[in-house]
Amino acid sequence: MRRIVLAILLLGAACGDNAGPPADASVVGIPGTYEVSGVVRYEDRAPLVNGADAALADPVPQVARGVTVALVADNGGAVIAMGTTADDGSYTFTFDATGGDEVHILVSTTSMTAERPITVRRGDNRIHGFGGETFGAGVIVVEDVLVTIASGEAEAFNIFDNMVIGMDRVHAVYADPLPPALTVFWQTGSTDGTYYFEHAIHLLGESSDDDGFDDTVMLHELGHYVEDVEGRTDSPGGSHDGSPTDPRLAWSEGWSTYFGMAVRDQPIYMDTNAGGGFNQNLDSEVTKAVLNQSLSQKVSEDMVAQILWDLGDAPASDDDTVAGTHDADMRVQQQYLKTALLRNVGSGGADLVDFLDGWFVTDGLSHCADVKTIVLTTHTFPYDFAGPGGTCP
Amino acid sequence: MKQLVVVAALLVCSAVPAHAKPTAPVEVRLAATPVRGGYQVTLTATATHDVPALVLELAGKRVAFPATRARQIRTLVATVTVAPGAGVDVVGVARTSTRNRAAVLHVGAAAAKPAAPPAITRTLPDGREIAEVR
Repeated sequence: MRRIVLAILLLGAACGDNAGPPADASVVGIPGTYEVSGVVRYEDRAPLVNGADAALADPVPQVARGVTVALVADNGGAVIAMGTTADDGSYTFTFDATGGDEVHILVSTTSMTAERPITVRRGDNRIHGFGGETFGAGVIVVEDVLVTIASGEAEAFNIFDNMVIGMDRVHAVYADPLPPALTVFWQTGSTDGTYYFEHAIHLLGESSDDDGFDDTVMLHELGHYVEDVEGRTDSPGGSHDGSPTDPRLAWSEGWSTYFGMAVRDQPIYMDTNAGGGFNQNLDSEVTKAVLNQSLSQKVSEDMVAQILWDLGDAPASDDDTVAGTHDADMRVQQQYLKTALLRNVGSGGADLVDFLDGWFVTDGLSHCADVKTIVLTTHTFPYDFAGPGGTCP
Repeated sequence: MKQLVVVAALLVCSAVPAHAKPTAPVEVRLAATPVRGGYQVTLTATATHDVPALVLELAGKRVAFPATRARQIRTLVATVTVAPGAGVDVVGVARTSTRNRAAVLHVGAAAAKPAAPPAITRTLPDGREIAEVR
């Protein structure tokens, strides 16, 4: 008897972990056109404020929007059909096969649409993918897929989804039908830093600092892609820590942090790490410049991001009087910074002075008093309010 | 440190700069030497800008330092008990008023890392290569 039990157990083990529901017996062996549909989700861990630190919430399934879905034959690995998930994570295939043929769904972090030219790759340049359970081809099969954290792939799908959020905002704000392809490199253990470089974002995956669930960190890096593609940057690049620095670097980094907050419509930047990480609230924190110094003084990226947030947020729960929009802030990149001949004040490259010049060019002078309150009174930045948009009274 | 080298290399090799993420104005490093019953672990924090205060945390110890100048080094030493044949990850943290930075060091026997799920390469009809994990 013990031998029989052992044999049954071994048979079960031989089926592996990917055995799905049994095939529809009525169609086994019959060639035909079959259908499979389902919803693709991934386990997400949302960043949370935890005192002065940042933490990750418990895993919650989120739909995977716009990822590539393929139907793969278990025998030989041929791709039988391919498509893209809708924004509710759903997909549907019809395909020709023999009933009962063993197949499975492969979802991958790459897009087949020009509007979302996003790919998330491993360090070896292969695209992240997750395979669902094996099932038998049948008349109508429902096969949902959940990309688990245990698989090591959920973070890649979270990165893809955040890039979708950002790229959709790029379309809405800049009306750019074909933005350049964006590649994100991340995998567990990756140690080559978190940074943007020539249409590619690199994200840390090491134990001391893994950015795979740090939504605002990856969207900060997407902000660099946006200024690169839709606007202008003269930043020398390099390390930055909130201390007063080159105005061009402070502008570029402050803009990018702001962009990451604006697309989420949440003013809190969160970066988790093994030591608890940190968070910053662009709406409530105040970083100042030195009022009696020049426009080219070193400034903090934090101050830049806070000013941008106050110009763009409104009207609910607002602590300033400017009834602006984030889209209007963002459009200054394309409508002014990208093409304008910048004033020869400030740092001699795109910086906060040039953004404010552009803001008044695109918005007019009707909010002068309110902007003065934010820029001069709250942040003590000595902007002259005399740019190409006119002179404020 | 490795990530700094990569970013620095990009800065040197290209006219186009790399844009790193916001970080804390402090670099951290952990080192360990074996002692009876465990390891003596040293957290070394080097400020990259002047900071009004710096807090170091290591293995349950927490020390607050006053204003620290750029390039000034602060250290915190702690003894970590490790049973024979065992190992443990030690986390060291340096906190400024608004940001922090962490380092992780494994001491003792090497951790039995869970095997990464194997990835099979699938090639889509358009040539894209997918590393499939199941």
